[in-house]
Amino acid sequence: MKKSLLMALFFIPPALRAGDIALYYLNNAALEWEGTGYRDNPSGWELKAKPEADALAFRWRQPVAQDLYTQVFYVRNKPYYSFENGNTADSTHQQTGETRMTFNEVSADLRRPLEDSSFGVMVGGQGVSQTFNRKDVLFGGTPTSSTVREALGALGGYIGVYTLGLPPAKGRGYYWDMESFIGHYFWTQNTVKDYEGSMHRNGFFYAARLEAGWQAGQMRLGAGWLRQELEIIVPAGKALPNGATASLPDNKTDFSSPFISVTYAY
Amino acid sequence: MPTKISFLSILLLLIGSVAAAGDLSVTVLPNASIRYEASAKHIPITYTDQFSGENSPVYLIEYTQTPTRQGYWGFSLMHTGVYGNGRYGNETVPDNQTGGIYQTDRLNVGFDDVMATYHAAVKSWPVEALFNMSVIRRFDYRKDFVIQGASQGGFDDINEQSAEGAGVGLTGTHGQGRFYARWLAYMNYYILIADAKTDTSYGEVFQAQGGVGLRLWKGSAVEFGGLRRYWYYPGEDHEIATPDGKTAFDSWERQVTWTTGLYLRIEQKFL
Repeated sequence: MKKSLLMALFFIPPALRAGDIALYYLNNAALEWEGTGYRDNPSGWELKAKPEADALAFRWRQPVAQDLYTQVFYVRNKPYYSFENGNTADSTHQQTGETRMTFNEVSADLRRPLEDSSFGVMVGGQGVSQTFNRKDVLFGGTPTSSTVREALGALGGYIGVYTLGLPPAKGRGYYWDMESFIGHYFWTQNTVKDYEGSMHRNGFFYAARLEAGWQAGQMRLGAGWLRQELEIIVPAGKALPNGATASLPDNKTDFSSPFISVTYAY
Repeated sequence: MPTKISFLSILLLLIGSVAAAGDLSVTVLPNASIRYEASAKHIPITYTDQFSGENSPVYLIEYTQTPTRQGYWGFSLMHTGVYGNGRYGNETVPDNQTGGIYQTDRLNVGFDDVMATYHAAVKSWPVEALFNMSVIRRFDYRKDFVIQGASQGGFDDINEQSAEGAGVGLTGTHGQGRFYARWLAYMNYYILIADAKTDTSYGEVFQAQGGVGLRLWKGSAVEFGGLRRYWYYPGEDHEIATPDGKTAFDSWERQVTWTTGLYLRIEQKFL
């Protein structure tokens, strides 16, 4: 969480010139990760972890020219150790353990309205970092004292659509602020890859943020829903001494939560 | 040969039916590289397949209403496969149980992508936003099976899978004179509502293309460029029995297809 605050402090000074900044609190956000993959040994092909934890997000939007805006969005969850299991249909290969998943994501884009429309389009880039600390791993009932730290990373581009409805400047009234985009990861990385296999480095993601609320002067108080899905495909694969899986090549993460937000507009 | 004739007939029919107004274009990638990568848990025999790739023609027919800044619709059909003179590559399935090779066959990876697109102009720029709805039908043709060293004679197989999706993109055309440059990129997210051999799942198409064109006369233009298309989707592994009682693999859980090539595009505006 300290890193989140540092990131926020990094972005706040430039934002004070113009635009708006917003903080989001995501209560008990559902973070579902599912890893799958196929290796030349039989030690496992899927793992799942579904921790629910609070998360914080930060958004900064700034006009850079007439009808051209930039937006930066950052989100991070509060990590903790939670139950992880895999291969549940096969008792000899069944795996259980604890994993602590940390999710950091930053997106930055340029956006511009459509002609005669309340909608606009955006094009941007996204970077994501996802780390897993695994311990207390049982595989087929056999324990291991080994722990492992896996770090996934991905960089990609996205195209999306947004709509923004605001009361007159410094006025009072309802507002809405919504966006949705689809992206493609061009680069992916995994630190745990004893067996890399033939898997390609690619992936994709989509996200939607639906937000509405009330504006009074320069402040907005809102609520909404954030939904993301990320598919990070990367050469990966490692077996722990007891045969358990420590990393998998196909990593699908669903991130979904309602939120409340506070926005300060200049 | 009949398949080639039927595709040509459809093409000519489409051209004739829409030639009253709007823009019609035909894009051909005469020798596109079709690469395919797949993996699944066909336990304990195998986890992956290996495909040599193939080079096949790819066709794209597009019709749009007359473009306006207020927005307009377009429709397109993209095709590659044996109906369009597609070629076969070598597919190999390793045997991870006993070592060696479990299955070899000849594979053609084909698909049809029918897309409806709404074009909306970006404010004051020569750029359009694209809002797509698309249905892809995939056809994998396999023949010349050899399983555990035994030829399966004339046994062949067609595996079909569908995906329905929507997405967004951007396109721009720059240059008002005789020469112009055009680019396009879109990303579609897919779900699989109903198909032949797989469960409901998801996936993505990312396509980017760019080229330079020459405006000829009376609304006609010719364009040269390059295209790359990435299609990833998780399906479901599937096996079939051959007449000799062998098990042949014809579908995988994680499937990726890359289509890459140079294209020639001919466009005609009907006023």
